[in-house]
Amino acid sequence: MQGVDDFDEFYARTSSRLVGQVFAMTGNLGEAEDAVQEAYIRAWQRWPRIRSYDDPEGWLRTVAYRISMNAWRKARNRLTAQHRATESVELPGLSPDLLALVSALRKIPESQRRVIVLHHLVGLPVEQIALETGTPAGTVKARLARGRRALAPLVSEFDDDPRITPRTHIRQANPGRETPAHA
Amino acid sequence: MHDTLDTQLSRLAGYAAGSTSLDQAPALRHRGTRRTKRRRGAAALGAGAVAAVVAFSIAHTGAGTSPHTAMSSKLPSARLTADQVTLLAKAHLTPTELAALAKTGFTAAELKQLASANLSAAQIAAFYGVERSVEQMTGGLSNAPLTSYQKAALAKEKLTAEQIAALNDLKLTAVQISALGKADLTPAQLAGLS
Repeated sequence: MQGVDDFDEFYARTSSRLVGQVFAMTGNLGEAEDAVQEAYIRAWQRWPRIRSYDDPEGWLRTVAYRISMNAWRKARNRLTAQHRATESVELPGLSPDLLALVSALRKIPESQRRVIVLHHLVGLPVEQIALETGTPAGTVKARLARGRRALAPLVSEFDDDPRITPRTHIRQANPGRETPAHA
Repeated sequence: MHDTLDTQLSRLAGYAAGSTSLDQAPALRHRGTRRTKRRRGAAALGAGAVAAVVAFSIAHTGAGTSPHTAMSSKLPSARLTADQVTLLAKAHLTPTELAALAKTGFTAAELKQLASANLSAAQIAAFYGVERSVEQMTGGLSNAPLTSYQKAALAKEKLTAEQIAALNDLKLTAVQISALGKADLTPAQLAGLS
């Protein structure tokens, strides 16, 4: 079939990286794997079109993220909020500082988590994140700022940032609340 | 001393990338292709059923509602070309055959081949259960003067179209066919048995 080789090559080159990115967005490795594989299946179904995109990896990342979020939302209906808040992180071999990061990422809103990952892991500028997430650039900036503030106790780069107050702590982050951004 | 957020996220993603166990690309492609075929097949059969029932209705009653309308209305809706609808309508499939085909997930082109092979609903169902290819179903079996029991037995074995065709002249029981299928003989060897 047409495009088999370049699909396989694309899969080999990008799949592991995408799992890492979606895992950072969701905090659940199994779910990230399932979502990424499902995204590649959908990509193969429309590969002639997807391969012509400027950034097919971005398309896959967006689809995988949406799949994982849908799965997560369904799971959320079955679980109590208390259970989620206390669920343990089962990631064998992960260092304590990264376990703490996973735990912290899980406690901030998914919208903030997504822009944090897109900016700090994928390396996208604000404008491109705005395009990928379908939100205004100002909102992206606000989410980045709030996400950084919530993660500040875990990272050194924000220690001297005057915009982050010493009182800010992950435990004080309110995952359910998000005010509109001031662009 | 903490790392930067970039570094920590990179390490986290690296951990996930190193720990992941994804399926191979061909397996994912296969799943995608099967899913597409299933959708197209369901769509094609929906229109085929409607066309066949309409043709049947017009031919036998002039117009109006056929007694099979209730069955056909349960099949999924479809987007077929006029040529495809005409071909399926000319295939004179019974509602039972259409219902059996509806479960197979073949493409419209494959259905056209199957429709012309005059296979029974039982055969179609048996072939689908063991994932026969269209070539195997039509290339070998449709020309073979075998009983439906023999064909059903053949369908359960992993024989190629050539192997099936080589069995044409044999008067084998279902048990014998099953044994041959397990032996994985070449077409030449099978022909030598006759």
